[in-house]
Amino acid sequence: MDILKQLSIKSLKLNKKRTVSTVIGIILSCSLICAVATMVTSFQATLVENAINETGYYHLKISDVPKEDVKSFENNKQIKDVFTAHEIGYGKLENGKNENKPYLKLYSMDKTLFEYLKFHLTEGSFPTNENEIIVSKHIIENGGVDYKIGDKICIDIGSRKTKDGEDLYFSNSYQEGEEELANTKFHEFTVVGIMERANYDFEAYRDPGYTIITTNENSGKRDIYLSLKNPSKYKIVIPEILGASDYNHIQEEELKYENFDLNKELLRWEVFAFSDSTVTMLYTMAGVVIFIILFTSIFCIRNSFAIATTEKMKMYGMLASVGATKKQIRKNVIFESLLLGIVGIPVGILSGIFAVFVLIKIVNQILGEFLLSHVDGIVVDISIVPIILTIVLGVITIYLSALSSARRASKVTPMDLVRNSNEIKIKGKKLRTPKIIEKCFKIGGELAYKNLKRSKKKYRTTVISLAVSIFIFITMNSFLANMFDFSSNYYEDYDYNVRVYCRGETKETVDKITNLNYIDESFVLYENQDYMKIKDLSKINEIPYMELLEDAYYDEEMGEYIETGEGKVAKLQIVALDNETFQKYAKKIGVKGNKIKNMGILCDHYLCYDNTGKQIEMRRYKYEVGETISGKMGGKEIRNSSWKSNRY
Amino acid sequence: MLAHRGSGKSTLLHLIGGVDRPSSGKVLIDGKDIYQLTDDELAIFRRRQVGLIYQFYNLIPILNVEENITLPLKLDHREVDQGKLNELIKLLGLENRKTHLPNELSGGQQQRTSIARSLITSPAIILADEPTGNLDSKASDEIVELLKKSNQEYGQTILMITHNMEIAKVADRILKIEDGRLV
Repeated sequence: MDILKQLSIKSLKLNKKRTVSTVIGIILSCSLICAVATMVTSFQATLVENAINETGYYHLKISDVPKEDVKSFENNKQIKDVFTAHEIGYGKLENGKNENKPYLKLYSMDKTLFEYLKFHLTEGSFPTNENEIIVSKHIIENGGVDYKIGDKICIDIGSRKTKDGEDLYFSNSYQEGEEELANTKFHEFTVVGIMERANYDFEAYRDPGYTIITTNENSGKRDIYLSLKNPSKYKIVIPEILGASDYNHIQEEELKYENFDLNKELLRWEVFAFSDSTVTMLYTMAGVVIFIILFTSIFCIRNSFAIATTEKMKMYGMLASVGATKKQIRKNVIFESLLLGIVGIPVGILSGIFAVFVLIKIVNQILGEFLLSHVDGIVVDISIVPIILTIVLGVITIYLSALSSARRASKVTPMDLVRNSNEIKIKGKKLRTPKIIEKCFKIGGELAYKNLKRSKKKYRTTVISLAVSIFIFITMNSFLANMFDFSSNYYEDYDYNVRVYCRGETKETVDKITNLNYIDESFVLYENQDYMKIKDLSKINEIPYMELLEDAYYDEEMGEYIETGEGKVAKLQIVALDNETFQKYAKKIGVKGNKIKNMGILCDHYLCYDNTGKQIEMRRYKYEVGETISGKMGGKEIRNSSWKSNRY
Repeated sequence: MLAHRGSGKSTLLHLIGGVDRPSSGKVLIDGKDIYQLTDDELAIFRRRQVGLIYQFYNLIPILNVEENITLPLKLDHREVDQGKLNELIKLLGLENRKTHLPNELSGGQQQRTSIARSLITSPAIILADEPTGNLDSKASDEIVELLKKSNQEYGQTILMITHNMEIAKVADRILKIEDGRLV
């Protein structure tokens, strides 16, 4: 080994205290970076896990695939797994209680697909042949038919058709009297297992049939479930499979397979498809935090190196006197610092991962099951990306931290050694201590002032460190405040426990409810079924998803809406609060209660997403404070109601 | 080189050794102006052509005697000639001190180590800045004797600064500096 490297190792071993404190700095920095990155990947893994548990692990489902096409999917190198399920058909559920779900829907699949789709067997076992079935618990709970393991079911299975002979799909809800089962075939099954309700991708809300599953039966429509080897290439692979030229035109083109479903939920979290802003936010946040960590730790570690280098300045001078070049010395300082990294980075990574592990365990203890509906809490995901990121950023941090020390060390000349000059070069300039310092701190203050003035470098570091700490405190603080603000837009905070709808009740009944014992506080919101119709469209801002109504009124005698033929109107809903609550609300938004007597408050604030998925804030109306809003309200009898507005 | 304190002798020595830069004028070695070289080239020139011996030895405290001696060679990525190393150690009487650290040695031994370090590269010239200035008279005599020996055995040119007339008498030629000028 190089003599200089040997020298580095020796001096590190000798200055154990300094070495250890520098290594601790590196460990902290790396563990923070690793922890933040691992948190992000864990969040992502959790969202993916949630998506898989919700919908099953597949990226693309193609329905109604001819048998001869299956081979080509299996031979496609871009596809990881191909699973086949057969939708055999529908059969009447005897004694069902739910009139919208009168059928059983029979599927055949093998056990692997059953597991991939995350169906959950609660009792019994998976069928071994085409005469055994699993029934969904939903039949028992929703349909009111009590199947048990060992029960025999006799059923005629066929396809749903309208009276005109057209095919009906599972997405078509049940139309009583309009549809019938055709081409039925008799089956007899033994119930061998009971499972949880199939997920809503498989059995939609409006699906008229309860899922039952058998195996080894190859009749009916063939559904193919595909998972991709490299999901991030979905924009290329999926159009290829479907026979489209381009991902963006999939909806418009004539496709080889028309009946397909992308597992959007899975793709969204696995490869961040469909430009979801949650993910962008998560990554931006992590990026900002990591940047702040880098910035801070470079300062701290730099300081550490600077002190170590100052201590060794004499040695570098000696080396220079026996002919060490600047380059050799510079390289040596960098090498020495990276040597600390060899210890610091791996320990930092391990402790970072450990910290995340503990943090997630604690978070899961407290609110694990409330976070997402299909996972029990955050999943700890230890992947290679955060580790590589930490190593790269760790090395960069150390390198940048050591750079200035290396430069300083390389500048030392043998002459500095001979002259025995110190770091501080005192200039002859006369220093005058300000009177105020003399007065406040006496002689101690004077000494301190002169010391600081004469060795500017030393106190510069301290001042910068202080500044950085304050900077970080303020940025983190406002950053978090921002985050909370942002999330409160996502989740409006309802601060009540119970809400009671009192449609058409008298005031007495309402009072009876609000005066019940145990009620701490209550308020009444009066809501009108009808809208106020505003004709003056120039007062309305154009906002996304805004609907204009045809001006119409409800004719009670005829029982239908009649258009007045006067064109479009915008709608405005009017709600009323009880007096006390109204005053409170007015106060909250900064309006004096007595000022708005006989006036209204116009809730004008509108928050929505534009086409690109960006959140925008705007006003709905162009009314100014004090202006009168006029419009029509009510049924046949058209009347004008005027409202003074007070904007919020 | 015989001179009084503050007469500029050390500065001259450092200029010759490529350690300090002249504010004006040139230092020519083999017809080349050494201060035209870059800092790194000058450092390489120094470790190959010049041996420096200081009053305060300047040994690396965490390296032992043998490592200190071979340091200039290793910085130059050259192989250590074991024969020459042993010969030097024997010549300088450091056989029993090879693995000692500088702070375990006496002043004389430390200075002998630094002489060995300057001799190991067989430089064109050894520049010695008051090598005996920090030693008692017995050790001083030893050092002077050793320098003389290296001159006789290896034909080593040595430029030594001193203000001790007794030591100066050993030299082949004596230069005097007064007020920054050779006289």
